[in-house]
Amino acid sequence: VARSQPVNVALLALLGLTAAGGTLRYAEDRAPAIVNPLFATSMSEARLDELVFEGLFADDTELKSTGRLVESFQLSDDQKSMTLRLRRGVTWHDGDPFDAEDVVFSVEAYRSAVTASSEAGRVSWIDTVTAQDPHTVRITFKKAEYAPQDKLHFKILPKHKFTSTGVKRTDPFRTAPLGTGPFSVKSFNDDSSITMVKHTGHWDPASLDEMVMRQVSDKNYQAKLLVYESLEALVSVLPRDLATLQNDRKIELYPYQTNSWWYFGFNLKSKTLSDARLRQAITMMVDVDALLAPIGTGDRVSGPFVPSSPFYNHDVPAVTFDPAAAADLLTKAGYTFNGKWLKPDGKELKIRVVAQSNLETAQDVVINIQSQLQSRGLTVEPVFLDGATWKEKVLGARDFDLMLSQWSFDRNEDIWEQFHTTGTRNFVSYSDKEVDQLLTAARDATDPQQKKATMRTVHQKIAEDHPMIFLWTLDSYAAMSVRVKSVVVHPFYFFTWAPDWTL
Amino acid sequence: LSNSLAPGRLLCWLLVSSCLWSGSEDAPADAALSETPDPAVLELGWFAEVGAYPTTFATLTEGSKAGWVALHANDYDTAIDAFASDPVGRGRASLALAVLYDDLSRYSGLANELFFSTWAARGTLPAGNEAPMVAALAAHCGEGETVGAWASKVTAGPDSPMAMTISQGRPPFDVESAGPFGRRMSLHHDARAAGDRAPLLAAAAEPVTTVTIAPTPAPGEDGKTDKAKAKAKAKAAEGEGEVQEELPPTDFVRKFWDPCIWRSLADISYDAAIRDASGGTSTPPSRSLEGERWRRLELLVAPDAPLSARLFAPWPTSADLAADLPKAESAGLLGARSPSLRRIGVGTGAFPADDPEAAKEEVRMLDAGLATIEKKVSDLGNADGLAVMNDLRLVHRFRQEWLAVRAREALTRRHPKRALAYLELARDHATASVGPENSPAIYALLAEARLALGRTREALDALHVLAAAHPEVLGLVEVTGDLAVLQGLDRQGDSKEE
Repeated sequence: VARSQPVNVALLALLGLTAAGGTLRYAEDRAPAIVNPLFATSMSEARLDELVFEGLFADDTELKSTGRLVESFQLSDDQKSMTLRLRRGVTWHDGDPFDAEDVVFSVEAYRSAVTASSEAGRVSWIDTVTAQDPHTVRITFKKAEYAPQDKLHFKILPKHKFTSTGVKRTDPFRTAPLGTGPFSVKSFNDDSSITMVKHTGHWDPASLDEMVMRQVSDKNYQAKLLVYESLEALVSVLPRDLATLQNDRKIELYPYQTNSWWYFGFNLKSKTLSDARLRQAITMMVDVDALLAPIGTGDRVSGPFVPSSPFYNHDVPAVTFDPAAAADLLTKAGYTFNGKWLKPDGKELKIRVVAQSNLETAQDVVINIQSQLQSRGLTVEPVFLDGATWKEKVLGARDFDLMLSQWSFDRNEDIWEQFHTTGTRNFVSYSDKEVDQLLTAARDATDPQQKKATMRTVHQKIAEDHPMIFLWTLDSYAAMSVRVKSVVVHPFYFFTWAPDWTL
Repeated sequence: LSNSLAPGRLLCWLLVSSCLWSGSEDAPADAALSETPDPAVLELGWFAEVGAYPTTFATLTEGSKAGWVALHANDYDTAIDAFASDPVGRGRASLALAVLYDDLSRYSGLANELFFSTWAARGTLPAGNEAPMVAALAAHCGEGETVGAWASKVTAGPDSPMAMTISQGRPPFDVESAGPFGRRMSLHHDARAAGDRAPLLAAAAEPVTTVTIAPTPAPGEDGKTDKAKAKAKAKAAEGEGEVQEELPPTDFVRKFWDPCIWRSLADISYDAAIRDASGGTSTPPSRSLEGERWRRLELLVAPDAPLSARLFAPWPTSADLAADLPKAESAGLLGARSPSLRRIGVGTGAFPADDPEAAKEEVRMLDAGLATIEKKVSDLGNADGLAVMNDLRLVHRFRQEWLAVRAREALTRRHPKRALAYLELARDHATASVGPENSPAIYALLAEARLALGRTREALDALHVLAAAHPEVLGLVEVTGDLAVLQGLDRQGDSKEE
C-alpha cells in the first residue's frame, strides 16, 4: 500500500500543513457483541476487528493482496506450499513480539472443533502450518493454489493470551482483546461505546490518535449527531437520509460495496415450515414494497444476490404480492380458513417473527409484516432480542419461525456458508443436494464464466425453494465530516485503510 | 441541491409557456420582457441567463418542447427524435450521446484488456480464436495498445483476415470474412454507412458468438488424480473423510460480446451531431476518430448562438465553447477549460498528481463561484426566472455536466482517484438512476474510474444503474462480471450479518 511516509507526515505537521492526530468518533447501529475474530458474525464486529487485528495479508487500495504481517513469501513450484517471511519488529499491543508461533496457533484455533469458529472455513484449505523459525512459517495446502495469499487475510491472534487452541466464546480475551493492528482497545465504556487508541509501536502507525465506536441505534439520531459534529463518521446511512446529508457541505458521502440484502428466513427445521408451499404462500402474502417504503428506495431481490452481482439471475422474478394466489396455494396444501388459517391438523397457524431489539428499522419492518400477515389470517408473534440473545437463540439454537436479518458479502459473494447443508452460517437450515453440488462446483471453479453460470443456476434453484422471503438491497453509504481527509473506504471491512485517514 | 425536481413543475415550465406567469402574483412589466440581455449577465453562464431572462427560455422551449424535456432528463435518444425540426437541439443531443458512447468504448477497451490479459496470465484462457479475437477488437476499438499482441494469437480460420487487418491499424468494419466476427462487423459496416444506430442497438443484446462447454473437468484439473479421487471416495464411504461431490451434469454457454458496438455508435452519433451542428455542411459519415471532424460545431459557437447552443451544456457560454473548441483533445473534454470558469479559479491547473483532495478543493472553489453567481441572479429579482432555475435545478445540472468533463479529463490523464472524487461530488446520491438528476455519463465514468482503481465489482454497480436506461451496455456488464469473478477465484468469500 502506498501509505504516507512517516517522515513526510512529520515534516508536513511541522510546517503546519497537516494536522496529525485527533479523535474520530463513528456510529454503529449496534456495538459488537464480541471482539474476537474467531467469533465475528456481524459487520460491526468485522469493522472493529479491522482496526485492532491484522492478517498476514490485506487488500491494498486496488484490492490486491499485499503483505501486512508478511514481508515476503515464496510459492513452491507445484503450488502446494508456501514459505512466509514474517515482518520483523511487529509487536502485540502489550509489547510482546509477534512471531511464527502466533500464526501456527491462529490457524489451529480457527480450525479447532472445540473452538467451533464461524470462520473455520477460512483455513479449511490449509493442510499443515509449521514455524520454521521465529520469523518463518511454512504452509502446505490440500490442493494446488494459484494465489494462496488471497486466502491469508484472516486475523492473527496472540498465542500468549490463550491456554489452548480450543478457544471458547467466553474466553476472557473477549473483554481484553489484543492485536497487532493500528489501534488497541483502551476501554469498553458504560454507554456501550468502545475507545481505541493508536498502537504507537505499530510498524506503520496511524495518523489518528484515537477512534471511538459509539452505539446509536436510531438512524435519525445518528444523522443529527453527524450534522452537529458530535460524530465524525456514520458507517451506514439509510437511503432516506441521503438527500439531507448530501446537501450539507460539511459532510461528504462515501458509497461502498457490501453486497447486502435483507431477508426473512424461514426455520426449515420446523415441520410446518418445511412445506415449500406454505413458505411460498406466506411470501406471496407480503407486500415487500410496503415494507421498504419507510426505509427509502432500494432494489427488490429475487434470490441470494444483489441485482448488480454477476451471479444474479435476472430471469428469476421477485415473488409477486398476490394474497388470492397465496390463499389458493394454502388451500391446496390442506390448510383451511375460518377467519384465521388453520393447519391440516386443525391447529391455528402461528408464526413467531424474530428480530434484533436495538435496530430501529428492523422493528419497523417486523411490525409492518405482522400487520400485513394478520390481516390475511395469520397470527404473528413478534419477538425482539438483544444482540447476545440473538446469537444464542437464533444463530445457535435456531429458536424461531421467521427471522429478519441482513447478509453482507464481500465482493466474492460466496453464499456457500449460508446455503450449503454444512455451511457454518446456514441459520435457516437449508439443505438441497443439487444446490450443495453446485455450490461446491462454483467454489472449485477455475473458469470465471462457468462459475458465473453455475451461480445463476444456484440463484434460480434457491428462489424456487423459498427458504427466505428475499426482500431488498440498499445502496451502502458512509457519511463523514469533510474534516476527515484522505478517506478511502474498504468495500467490506471499511476501516482497512483508516490508518491513512487524517483529521 | 436542496430542491428535488418536481416533474409537474418541469412539464409546466416546458410544455405550457403561460405557466411562466402563473407562479407569481405580479407579472414582470412589459419593459422587462423586452429588455435587451445584459452581456454581463450572459457571461455568467446559461443557468444565469435562464434565471435572469426566463422569457428567452420559454420561447426556446416552446419551439421544441418534447426535445428539451428529454434533453433535460438526459434521454438523448428521445431528444434526437423529438428535435425533428431543430437542428441545434438535435445536434446537441447527438453530441451528448456520442460522448457517452465514446466513454463506453474506452471502458470496453479497458475492461476487455483487463479480463483477457488476467485470464491469459493464469494460463487458462479458453482455446480457440474467440477470446483473442474479442481482445484484439476491443483493443482496436478502445484505442488500446495490445491489438497486435492479441491479433497474433488468432490462428487460421474464417476471421483471421480481420485479425490481420486490425493488427495493421486498419478498421475491421470493411473486412469481408465468413466467421461470426466478420458477420458482426459487416452489420457495423452497414449501420455506419446508413448512419443508423438501430441495428447496432439490437445487436448489442446478443453475443457475437457462443460456445457450449460441457462441464466435465479434465482428469486432475482439481488437483487430484483419478486414483486419489477413488481413494477419497472410499475413505468417505468409511466415514473418514469429506464426501467427494459430483459435478452437476449441465452444460454452460460461453458468450463472447461485441467490444466495438460503442465505437460504431459513437461514430454514427458524432456524424449526426456534426451534420446538424455544422449547418448541414458536413461530409458523409465516416470514422470520426480520424481527423478533426468533431470540431465542426459552427452553429454552437457562433457569436449570436441561441440559448439552445448551450442550455444544459458543460460550457457556460458559447464564447467558452468557442475558446475551448480548437484546443480540446476530444469532444468529451469540451468545456473543461472554459475561460469564464477559469476566472473563478477552476479548470485551470494541469494534473500534477492523482490527488483526490485537490479535486475536492477544486469542487469547493466551483461551489463558491456558483454560489456567487446564484446570488447575482437572485439580486436581479426575477422571481419567475429564479423559480425556473430552482425547479429545474439548473445550477446542479451545470455543476454535474462540468464535473463529468473534468472527471473525463482526469481519466485521460490516468488519474482515476481524482476522477472518482469529481464524480462522487457531482452525482445526486439520493437518486440512483439516470434521469434529470444524474446523466448517463456520470455512471459510465464512475464505472471506468472504479475499474481503473481495481474496484471491478463496484464498477458493476455503476453499470447496473446505467443498464436500466441504456440496455445496450449488456455486453459490458457481462465482461465486467466475468472479470470480477476471475479476480476473486482465489479468494475465500467473507460474509457477516449487518
